[in-house]
Amino acid sequence: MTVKAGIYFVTLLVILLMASLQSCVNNNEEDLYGIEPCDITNVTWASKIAEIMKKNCVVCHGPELAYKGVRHDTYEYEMIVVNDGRLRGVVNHLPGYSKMPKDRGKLPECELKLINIWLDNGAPEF
Amino acid sequence: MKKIIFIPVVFFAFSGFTLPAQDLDKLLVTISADSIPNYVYATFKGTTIINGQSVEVPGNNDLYFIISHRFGAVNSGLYNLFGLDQGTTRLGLEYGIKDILSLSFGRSSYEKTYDGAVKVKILRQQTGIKNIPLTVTLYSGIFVETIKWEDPERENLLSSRLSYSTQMLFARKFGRKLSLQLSPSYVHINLVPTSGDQNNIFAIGLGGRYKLTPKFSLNGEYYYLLPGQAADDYANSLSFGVDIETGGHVFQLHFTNSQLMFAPGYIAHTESKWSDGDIFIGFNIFRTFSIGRKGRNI
Repeated sequence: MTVKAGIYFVTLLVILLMASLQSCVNNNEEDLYGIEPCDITNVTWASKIAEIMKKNCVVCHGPELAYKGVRHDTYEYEMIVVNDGRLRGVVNHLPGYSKMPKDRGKLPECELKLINIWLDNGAPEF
Repeated sequence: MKKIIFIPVVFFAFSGFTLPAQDLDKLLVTISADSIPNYVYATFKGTTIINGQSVEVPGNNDLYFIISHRFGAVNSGLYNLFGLDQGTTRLGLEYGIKDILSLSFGRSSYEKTYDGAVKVKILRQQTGIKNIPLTVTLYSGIFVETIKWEDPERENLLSSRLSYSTQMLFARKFGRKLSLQLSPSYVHINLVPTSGDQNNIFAIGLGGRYKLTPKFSLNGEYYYLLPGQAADDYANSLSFGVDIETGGHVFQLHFTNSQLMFAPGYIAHTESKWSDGDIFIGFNIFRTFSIGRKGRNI
């Protein structure tokens, strides 16, 4: 290692170390924001699921884009992916299904739980 | 007396011209092998083995443009052309300084994550003046998610977007064909969902390459998560592939159960399992631009 390269190395390590010390924390969402209650009563399309879909899915799978022909903006369209099993597969990241939401981790625990309860209950509209 | 000395000197001096060239070469090789470091080059073809970093850094003043892609799951069926309809991408640049140090910058589509990293060779496998059996490289990177906040209403912290990875890479090239690497790895994630999730994750990586021809090799890579919540919730990353070298390019084609191409992703957040058939076809393409006059191709 030449002296010049050594200087580069030490400088970069110091910068990296300083940046790390400035921003390295051990946080979790429960401690930062508290545990939000997950209301699992009366889980229907109208009461809870439509809102989850609007927040997470409709931007790519709605009336404007409808990527791959899938839409989550109405109950009728939603039932297509409910009936063929795709909704359960993609949100739970089951083998053989695309992982949704695209380029993100799984949905927040409560939202995922509500979708699974809704599917288990036969996906009622009201 | 002077004449007696003069005769053998003249004899050896002239006879030197008549020595076979091979003997002279051997002599020079012997002298140079002992007096200059004889570095072992190209332990791996690329700066990654598959998903994970290799001990290699770009040559002096070389700039690599790296295009990486992982398609969707192979078991998604013919309708999705076995995953080719979907995928994630990473574009990156890596610049070599003085053959032992590199800086890199990249952006992955997953969580719209930017990454910056420094990589430095601490030891170089060599013979000659010193006999060092291993190449040891330190890799340290910072990763920043820039995807929109999931809940913009709450007080979101900038630090919540950051994660880190540090790896100490130990590799040895055994002869011309086989190279093996051990990669103890540390991942830190600033914000995790629950108090039961790990902010600090440790893993051991194993990687290797076997050259079948000068321009073609088989590669394998495995990251073992040490016991803990991450190991319980996620899978170990296992990948197999080939390296194909052409003038100025290295193509890496592979099968992997990790769709993510940055360290906190493939080490700590691999969801898919080979046993479920949930594997991804992927590639990395390295294009070399030699910026300095003394730049060299990989």
